[in-house]
Order: sequence, then C-alpha cells, then structure tokens
Amino acid sequence: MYPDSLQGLIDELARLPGIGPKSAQRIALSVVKRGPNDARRLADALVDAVTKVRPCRECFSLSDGELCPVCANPARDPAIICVVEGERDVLAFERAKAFSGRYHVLGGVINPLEGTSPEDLHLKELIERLRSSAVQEVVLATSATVEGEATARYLARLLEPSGIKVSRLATGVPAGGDLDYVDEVTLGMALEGRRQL
Amino acid sequence: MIVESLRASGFRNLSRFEIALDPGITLIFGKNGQGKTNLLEAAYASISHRSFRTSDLVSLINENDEYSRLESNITLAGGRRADLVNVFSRSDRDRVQLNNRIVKGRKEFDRFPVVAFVPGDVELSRGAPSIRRDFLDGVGAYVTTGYSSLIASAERLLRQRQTLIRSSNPDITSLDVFDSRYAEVSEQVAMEREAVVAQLDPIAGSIHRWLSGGEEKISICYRRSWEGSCNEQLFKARKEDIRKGTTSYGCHRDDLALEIDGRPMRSFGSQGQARSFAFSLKLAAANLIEKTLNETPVVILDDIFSELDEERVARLLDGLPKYQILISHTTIPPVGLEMRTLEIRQGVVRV
Ligand SMILES: [Zn+2]
Repeated sequence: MYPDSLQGLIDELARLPGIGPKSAQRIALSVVKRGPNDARRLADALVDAVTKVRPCRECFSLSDGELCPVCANPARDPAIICVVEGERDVLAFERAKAFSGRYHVLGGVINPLEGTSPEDLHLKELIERLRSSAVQEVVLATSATVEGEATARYLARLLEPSGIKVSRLATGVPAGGDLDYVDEVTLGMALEGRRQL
Repeated sequence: MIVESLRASGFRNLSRFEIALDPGITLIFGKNGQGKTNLLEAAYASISHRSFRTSDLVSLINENDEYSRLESNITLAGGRRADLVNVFSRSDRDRVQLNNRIVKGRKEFDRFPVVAFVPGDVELSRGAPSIRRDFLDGVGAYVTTGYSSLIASAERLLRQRQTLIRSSNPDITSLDVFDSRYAEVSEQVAMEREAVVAQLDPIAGSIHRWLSGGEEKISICYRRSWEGSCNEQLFKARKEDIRKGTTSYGCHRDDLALEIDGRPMRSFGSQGQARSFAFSLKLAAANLIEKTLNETPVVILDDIFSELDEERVARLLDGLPKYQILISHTTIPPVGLEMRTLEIRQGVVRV
C-alpha cells in the first residue's frame, strides 16, 4: 500500500527495539515530510555513531575514543569501581550524579538458560583492572533479578581472595514516592537494608 | 467480595453472555456437556486469570475465535468497586485491565480471592506432591505478602540450576552460586509454607469435624525434602545430581503430609474420605483467606452433589452463608436452601 521505498524504511525502523509497526509508519512519514536535508542529517548521525562508538578500553562503557569520558576524567576516583550489567546502567548512574568513582560494564549477567556463562562477561578484564590499580572498593550494582543477584554472588566469591572491600547496591524505596505504592518485596528489602541515623 | 456481573465472549463452547450474579448461592444447572463447568471456569478466570482445569490458557478460547474476553464487575469489602477485564489471546500477549488500567504480573489478583472445589481435587490426597504444593502456594499468594514473587524466584533459580547441571561442563563457581541461592530461597519458601500450614491446620481440623459430624480427625504437616541445611545437602548430592540431571533437594521436592485419624491419607484414606478431606482443606483455605485479607472469597463448587452426599452438601452450604457461591449440578437439587438458578443448554446461558 505504501511505495516500495517508503515501505522499506518502515520495515527497517520496525526492526528497532521499542518501535512497533504503527510507530514505524509515523516516524517514516514524518521523515519523508521533513525533506532530504533533515534526512541526510539523520543518516549522517546514524553512520557517525555506529562507526565511532566502541567499548571503552578500561570499563567497556560506550566511548568515542579509546577511553570513555568517565575513565578519561582524572577527577573520577579510581579507588572505587561500580560494576554494572550494561552500558545503560552507566548512563543511569551518571544522570543521578551521585557516584564519583569509575565503572565496569559486565556486558550481561550469568544466565545458564540463555547460555550466558561467566566467560561471556568482562570478568577477566575486571580482575586485571583490580590487579593493576589501587582499587579499594567494588560496588556490585547488578539488578535485583535472580540472575543479577547470582552474578553479584559470583563476583563476591571471585573477589574474596583479593581482600578488596565488596559491597552490594542497596535496593530501596523510590525517593519522593508514597510508601503505599511501593511493592512489598521492595519495601521488605528496603527494610532489610536500613541504616542507623 | 461479590462478583456483581459477568460478561464473556469467545470462551470455550459458551455463546456470548452477560449475567448478573447474586451475592448468595447461584446454581448453574443443565445436562452434562452443555457447559456448566465452562461457566464456572469463566467466573473463576475472570477474577484470577487462571483456570482450575488447565494451565494452558489458550484452551479457554473458543476454537472459532482469535481471543476470549471476560469482564467482571466486583464489589469489595467496604463497598469499593473493581472492574476487571481479562483477554486471553491465541497469538498476542494476554491482557488484563483493572479499572481501565492495564496491569502486569499476577500481583493484583492476590486481592480478588477465589476458591474452587472441583472433582479433580480428590488428587490432593492421592496425587503427586506438586498438587499439594500448588494448593499451598495458591493459599500463600493470598495470605502472605511477597509470596508469589518468592515462588517465582525459586522456580527461576531451579530452572537455572537444572540447566547448569545438564550442561556438558558446568562452571563450578556458577553452580556454587546457584545452589546456595536456590537453597536459601528454598528455606524461605519452606518457612512461608510452614507458616501457611500452621494457620490452615487447626481451621481444617475443626471444619472437618463439623463436616463429618464429629467422626473424623484430620491434620496436615509440611515435610521438607532436606534435613538441616538445604545448601549442605545440595552440595553433597551434586555429583549424583549431575549424573542424573535432577535436583534432589529444595522446595520443589517438599510435600504436605495429610493424616486422617492419625494415619497417612495416601495409604489409608478411602475415596470418600479423599473427597471430604480435600473439601475441608479448600474450605479452610477460604476461611484463612477471608481472615487475612478481610475479604470473602468467591467459592466455586463444580459438581459437588456427586462428590458429597446430600446431607454433607446441605450442612456445607448452610455453613457458608456469607460467601458468594457458584454451584453446578445436572438438576435443581432437593436441598432446602434459597438459591438463584441459571440454566445452561448447548452453551447458551438462560437466566
Ligand atoms: Zn571507561
């Protein structure tokens, strides 16, 4: 029903995560209406990002160069490393502006059902980093899922011989939220992880 | 809680219908194969997004339809209203709406208690342990906060562990981690289930005494599959587990022991005792759920008259005046109780 070229664009867009067939149509039509200049800018940005972005040599977060902005920043505390599952978690921490240390992106979690084993994660590189630098604390910030929890345990065992302090991210109540609306599991964990005032 | 009205389309053999339900007893009658159980199942599924007959929810959809839609209007304790829409789909994801908002996960359903007694429940006494665990977990989900997600974690961990031990060269540290997590969660599950049993046991005992006219004494007791530390036992069993590809210890191997007059039901109970035992357990569950949630469960009794003798049924219905009850039977039974009747013929509900 659409011309082939437009349908081709819709199909490509619909392959992207989070974009259903309807959104793909809407985006494609809007791109066509905006004209060739806008489209070229978009195409350039796409190609630019895809060719330039690569994993950071140190932490495997996304980067334009050898080192990501965090690893390249001498003001970031090298003594504390926050271990996360994916690149998006780094962005979340950075938006929160609450962490002044550095990151290490695992690139997943241990998940036998999906065939992800420890060798598939950036674990060796983490051990290497810990060996070659003066890291004093590792914060395990994998998610609170069954696999995220197991991965945190795995890391804790792996790091035990090193004597480095290992902590686990507390799970808690969202700030500014009504306690009424917090699910009971989160509330229970928040209670377990309470601290003295 | 009371289901005030129920609308259904595309559900099994039933023609599209809309019925208002009474707060008391409603009898659904009709000859066999007309759709009585289907109607009960529709009521059950509309407030639980489950079936008491199958875990394959696609089978609820009429063979000529793409999806099945159930709508119910509910009045909760204190007069609060809730409108539920359940859509079971052949090709799409199932959908649930509560008061016009899409809900995800099972958690919301823990507020809408329903207890069903069906002929297959005799299996509670004689069937596999999983039937008794499922029963306990069904009750636990209503009466213990966080119960459903605890069970979900246990199931997920077990699947991960099973995958690991069946893989060609399992990573030992991964196995250590999944074993210790599964053992930990199993201990938690066992504790929660034991807490449910501790509450259920005295209620079931007194209900059964009343139902049997003071003749029989029943008791239930939770049996863990391990002694001492689950983690240690799992660790000791690992070699054997890897060889067999199974997991020997954990909450998936636990059982609920049922006793009648001090003897195990499994080997000593008669068919009739199995029926009434199951019945007492279900009623005790309804009772416990009501006490804990401050909400009366909807009670569904499929083919109860062929399960229990008339005297027991009369005593039973008499003892359940405050629950909304839906019963099925082939005819209008000769029980001197006030009830509303709905006839069902070839899938058509006649008010
Ligand atoms: Zn970096």
